Amino acid sequence: MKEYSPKSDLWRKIQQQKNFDSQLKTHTTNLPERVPNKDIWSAIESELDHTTPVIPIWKYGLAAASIVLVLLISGVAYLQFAEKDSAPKLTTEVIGESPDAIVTEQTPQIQKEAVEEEAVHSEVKRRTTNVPTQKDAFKTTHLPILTPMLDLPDLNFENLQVAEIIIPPLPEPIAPATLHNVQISWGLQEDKNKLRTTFGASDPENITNQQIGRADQTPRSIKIKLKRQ
Amino acid sequence: MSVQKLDADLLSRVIKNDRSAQFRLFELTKGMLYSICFRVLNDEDEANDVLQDSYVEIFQKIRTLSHPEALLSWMKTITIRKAINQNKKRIHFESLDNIHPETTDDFDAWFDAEVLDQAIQSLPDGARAVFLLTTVEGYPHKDASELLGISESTSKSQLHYAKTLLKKRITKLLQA
Repeated sequence: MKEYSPKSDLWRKIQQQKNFDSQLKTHTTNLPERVPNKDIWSAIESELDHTTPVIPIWKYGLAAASIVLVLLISGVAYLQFAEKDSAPKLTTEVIGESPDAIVTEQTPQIQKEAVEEEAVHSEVKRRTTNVPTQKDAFKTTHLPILTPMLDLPDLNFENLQVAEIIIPPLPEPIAPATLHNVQISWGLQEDKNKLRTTFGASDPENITNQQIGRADQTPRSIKIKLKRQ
Repeated sequence: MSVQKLDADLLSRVIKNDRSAQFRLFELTKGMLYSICFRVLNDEDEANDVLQDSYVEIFQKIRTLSHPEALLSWMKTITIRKAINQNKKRIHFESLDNIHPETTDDFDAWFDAEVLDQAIQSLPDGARAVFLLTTVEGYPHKDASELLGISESTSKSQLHYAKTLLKKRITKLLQA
């Protein structure tokens, strides 16, 4: 049979593979595999059954820390807002006896308020309160107030007799409450010369517009019932 | 061990703590991992203990595996780390300043894997560890030095020392 010849560089290539590093590279991937003990699986199985599952404690810790942080921030914010609401005011208000009226140099300002004070004091007299009479310093000038005339029937008292007089019981004497407010400002004062008085009614500015009638009867008013003869 | 046998179905069942699937994975990979343990530790009992701990950790943490295709390398990494930690107290890197091994540049012998395996077992612990990590497992010197707690230069010099010793040992084994 005919013989075939290999390439001439074949021997050189074979000698190249005989190199230690090339043999090492070939054989390190084919090293013999060793076998462990036969009962190792049972040991692994028992250890897996006994070990508890890994709990991500760090997740629970992170959640707890975030909740604590939120509570802390809300608590601090609440305390700060609460302190702002309860912050002491600069001006203090003391309710006591009314001092004497102070006459100042600014008479035009007083004149404007005198009109209102006149109406207030007239109303005070009608209601028999214990407000002291004002001094002459407030009575300067006042403008007449024109009111519309109402057509009302004339009252005929000839044939009327007193049927019943209802006198309400007198209430227990109560110490009259002072209706004078004195404001003492320790800090900012807009106008020291401003005179503030509140005599008598709770809203003296609107007293001129009120009309006293049956709807405004106080419980202390004396009622007289009349009948015709 | 065929990689094709490690299909996605087996892996999903292992993640679900299917005991039969776990056993199947153990049977497919036990030889590979035990060989690594034995070569690093050079002791059968210690290698079995490390193998057991490695499989327990593998089955506990397999859910955290982000790339299922890297399962084998991931398992190898866990096993190698445990073996090195177990042997860390015994591993001693000889100072190469006073050692002048006979140079065998003209190594002229054919050897097989069995002879190589026997020669690897006769290496010192430190040089053997460096040789196994870099040449057998393919770790770069940077990673191998981090695992062993040495510098890169020490890793390179220890590898050169290991190869020189292997040549000498293989020549003696072939002559015997």
